[in-house]
Amino acid sequence: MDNKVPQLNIVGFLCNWCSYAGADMTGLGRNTYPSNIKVIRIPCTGRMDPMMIIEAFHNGADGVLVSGCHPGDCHYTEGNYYWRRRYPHLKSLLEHFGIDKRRFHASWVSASEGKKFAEVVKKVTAEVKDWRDNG
Amino acid sequence: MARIGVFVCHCGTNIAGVVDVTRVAKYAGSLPGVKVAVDYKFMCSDPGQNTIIDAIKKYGLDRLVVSACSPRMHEATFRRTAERAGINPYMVEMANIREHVAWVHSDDKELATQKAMKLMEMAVAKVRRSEALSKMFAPIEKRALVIGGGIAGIQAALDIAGAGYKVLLVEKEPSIGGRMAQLDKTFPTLDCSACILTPKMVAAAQDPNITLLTYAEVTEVCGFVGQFEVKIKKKAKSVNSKCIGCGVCTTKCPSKKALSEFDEKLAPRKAIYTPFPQAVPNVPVIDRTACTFFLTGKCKICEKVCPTGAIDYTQQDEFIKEKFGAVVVATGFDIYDHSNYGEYGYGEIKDVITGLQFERLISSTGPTAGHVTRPSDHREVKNVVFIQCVGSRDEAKKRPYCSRVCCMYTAKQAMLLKDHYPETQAYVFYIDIRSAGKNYEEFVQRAQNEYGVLYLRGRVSKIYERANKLLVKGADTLSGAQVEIEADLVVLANGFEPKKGAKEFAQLFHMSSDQYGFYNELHPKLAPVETAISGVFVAGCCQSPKDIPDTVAMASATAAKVCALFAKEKLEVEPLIAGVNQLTCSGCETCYNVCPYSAIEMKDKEVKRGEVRHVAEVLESVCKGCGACVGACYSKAVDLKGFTDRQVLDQVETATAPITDN
Amino acid sequence: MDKELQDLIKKLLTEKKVDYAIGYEKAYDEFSTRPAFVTSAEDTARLIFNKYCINNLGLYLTKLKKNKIALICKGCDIPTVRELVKEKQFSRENVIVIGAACDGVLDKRTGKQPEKCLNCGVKQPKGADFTVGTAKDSTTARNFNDVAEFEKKSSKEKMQFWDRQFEKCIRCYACRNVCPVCYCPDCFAQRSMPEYLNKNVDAEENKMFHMIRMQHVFGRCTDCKACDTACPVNIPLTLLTKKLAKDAKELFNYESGADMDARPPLSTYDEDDPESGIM
Repeated sequence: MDNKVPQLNIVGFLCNWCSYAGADMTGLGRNTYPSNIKVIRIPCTGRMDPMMIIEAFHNGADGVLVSGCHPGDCHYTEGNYYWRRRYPHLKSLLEHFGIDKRRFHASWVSASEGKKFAEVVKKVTAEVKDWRDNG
Repeated sequence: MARIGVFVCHCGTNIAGVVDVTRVAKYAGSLPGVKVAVDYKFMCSDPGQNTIIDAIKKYGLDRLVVSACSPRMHEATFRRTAERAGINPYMVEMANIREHVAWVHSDDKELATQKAMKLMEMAVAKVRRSEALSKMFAPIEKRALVIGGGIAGIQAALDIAGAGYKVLLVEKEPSIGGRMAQLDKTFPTLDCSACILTPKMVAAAQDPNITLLTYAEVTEVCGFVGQFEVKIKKKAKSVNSKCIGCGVCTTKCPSKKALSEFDEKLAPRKAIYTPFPQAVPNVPVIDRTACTFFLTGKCKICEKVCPTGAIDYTQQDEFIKEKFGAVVVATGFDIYDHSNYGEYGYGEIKDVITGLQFERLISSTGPTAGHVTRPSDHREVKNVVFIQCVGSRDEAKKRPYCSRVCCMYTAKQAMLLKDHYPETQAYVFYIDIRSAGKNYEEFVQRAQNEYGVLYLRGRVSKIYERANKLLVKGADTLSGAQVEIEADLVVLANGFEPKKGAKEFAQLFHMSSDQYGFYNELHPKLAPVETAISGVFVAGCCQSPKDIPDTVAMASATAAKVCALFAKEKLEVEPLIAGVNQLTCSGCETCYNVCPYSAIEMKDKEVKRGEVRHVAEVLESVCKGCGACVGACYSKAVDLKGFTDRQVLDQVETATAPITDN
Repeated sequence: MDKELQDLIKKLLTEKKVDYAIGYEKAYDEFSTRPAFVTSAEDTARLIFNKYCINNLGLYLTKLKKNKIALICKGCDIPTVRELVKEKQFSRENVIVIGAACDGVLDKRTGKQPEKCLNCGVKQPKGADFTVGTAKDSTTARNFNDVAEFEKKSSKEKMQFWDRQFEKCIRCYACRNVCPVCYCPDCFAQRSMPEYLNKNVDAEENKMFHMIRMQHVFGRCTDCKACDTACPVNIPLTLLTKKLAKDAKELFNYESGADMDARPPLSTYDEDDPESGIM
């Protein structure tokens, strides 16, 4: 997709050990992706309080992405397993309140998956754009 | 009121080539609380850091934002800068406008600049809520665990022990020695592998600081740097400590069913065995899957012939749990299995062998006592074809990497063959010759010029058997001709791959691996022996394929890291940990249940005068700062220093607000 | 039935088995009841139980933590007790659960039985220490049809629906105050550092309050409908609490307050949990 999608605001919460490092790797490999995502570094997806995501949507975020280590690879052993439970529950609840499921995503990106991170961001941005353009 | 300084780095043209850094600095200057905002070519350089220090003094700053590269790169640098100027190091935030902006949004400079401004603004929002934190200290168990008894593990253990620290060296096989013990000679000096390895094995066994634990495996790991708690399974050897290593049992054992792992399955081995004659420790083990007594209940010959009564059929696997301050992982590699190469006969042609099998054939301690004969009919060989890059540099086999040693070991093997049998001819099919290393290129040249090894640049398309010969069909791309060689033996230069079970092993420590299963170092250049798990270091081929000198160097490097860690009185611990506000804690025990480190204690405590409540408390030296408790607490009583709710919320709010750039 | 109840409480108080009995008494008219806190045997005569006893008295357990209590529960209130015990808010030894057989309560706003009574399987209470009266459980099983129906709407329609609902909300916090699992000593809604929630009463802020509250009670809410009943502006909160129950069941096969041994869905995990569309 085109990397230029103006006026679309996506908040990305990336765990420090895998996904943030993976996003750094995207840069190292000079893979490009749309600039709408603004990354907030968190230690672990286990830190991800669903409240922060509700706050992000409330503040006007068009989309939210939470990304962490692959299951089994969590730097803190278990954090991403807890997140893997919070995610479907929160997604379902948000959808129930009318926050379209195209706006909220999660991914596993390891420290070596720079290319994957670019792909994930492209996909998320495209989904959010689709929601905005087509309702 | 906060007094914030914002420092925008050009990183040469890395950032400034895409992002309008002066505009970012100008925007920073307009933000509330920002007293000074400047841009500079290289913030991490000495003059760059001095710019920051001068600004701190001149403007009385109490917190900093550095808009530069990834915090994973330079957060520590700028924290130290802050400290040098008298600011608390935790009052520093970085905005990653290189990896997350300039390098990924180079296709639109305007959007990139706007995003850089936003990320900087988010960092300013976060740092406004930062609090001064002080470092904490934890004890260090000054004892190292080295996993893997190959040359890497042995070297690391010897070096750590040499510095005066205790080491436990754990090896899965019955003897230490590893892959190097299987080799005949080493390149480029052609000195005997065993001759240089055996003294090290003996030294490791005799070192009073080293405890050897062979036939043992790590099964569980908990804890963290300074305080790892490791569970080790000691597999039942069926031979107790009375053994004097006389070897009578091995000689008399009637079972010949099992194939020798050490000889790469070219020869049988007994059910009670030591892998090779120079084994350390020289104590045999009974392979219960091959032993007649364990299979049928009859035999017990070893027990009868043992002069010291060392055989113990009732021995059980035993588990021990010990504490270590640091761990060196040196678990080695496996040889690529070529059975999925159709062109080389799917591993079914007996006289197509691996490079490691050739080592065993040509070794005087090998199954043929050094005579290179065909495994199929034991005839001596005349023409031998070597094929390089088998399971290396092969995208189709999902092994695109170069195994680094195959070019060299092929040249070595071709030379050894010629040394043993001057009348033989060696052919080598190659893609490129990679011989970077001291005296390596000269070595390959010698193979070609002095030993007359014929190098053919091209791939082999087919090997088939015809009249007791192997017909090798291939292309010589330099002459453009198809070639067909009638060979007696084909030796494949099988590449390296991660040890079987490498991924599962990595999970014990929560180390990360690359897509093949080799363990990831913390930084490919600047932290090549560290892993993302502090206190766990990697040496040798479990990290990537490499030769013996590189392996030894890496092992010594891990030892230096371990010793540097142990030389400290106490361990400095990041204060970025969780804390409970007991006034708002409802005592529901959710945090206690989710904490991966058991770092939460539940207490009945007087939180207000006269009011005793059941509340949570964080054990500061145990908490690792993952924040699982924060994500789970619905009373919002737990918070994580450095990533507080206030900080994250303000980042969220800033991220979603428009830029007010005039 | 009232007599049977009064005698039982009288006995428990006389024998000093409990300090308090929490039950219902008649309020200002014959269609209303209110919670009654009885501490002496002589006082038990005011205790009643009828179809207007709609409140979930489990709420008061967290407020009287230190005492031994006899709590009068309808079958549908008992999960609340279990949930609170699980969350360490009360020790099970300190509460004597008196199950009152119930043929369904009446919502005096509508004069009808609320939906939860129509498919009730616990009219005859299960898991009580004592039970008074007898009732017949309904033959139809509890279902989530109304939630499933709502889920079919587009996200836009859902948002419009809730926006209209939360425009009515006056942020009186009655829903939170009657919720037995909303026992936090300091609710996020009233914090100022950080200010999780703006104190303005507008539809957006109101909606966020309810979203966060619903998230906080996920896997803990027993869908007792106390909030729905208490809401003075008739926001259909049951559509939310029932959604929580449905998700807990469908995503994690969990039912709040049903099984003392099952860990709450968000404070445990399984290494084989589904990936749920995580990229």
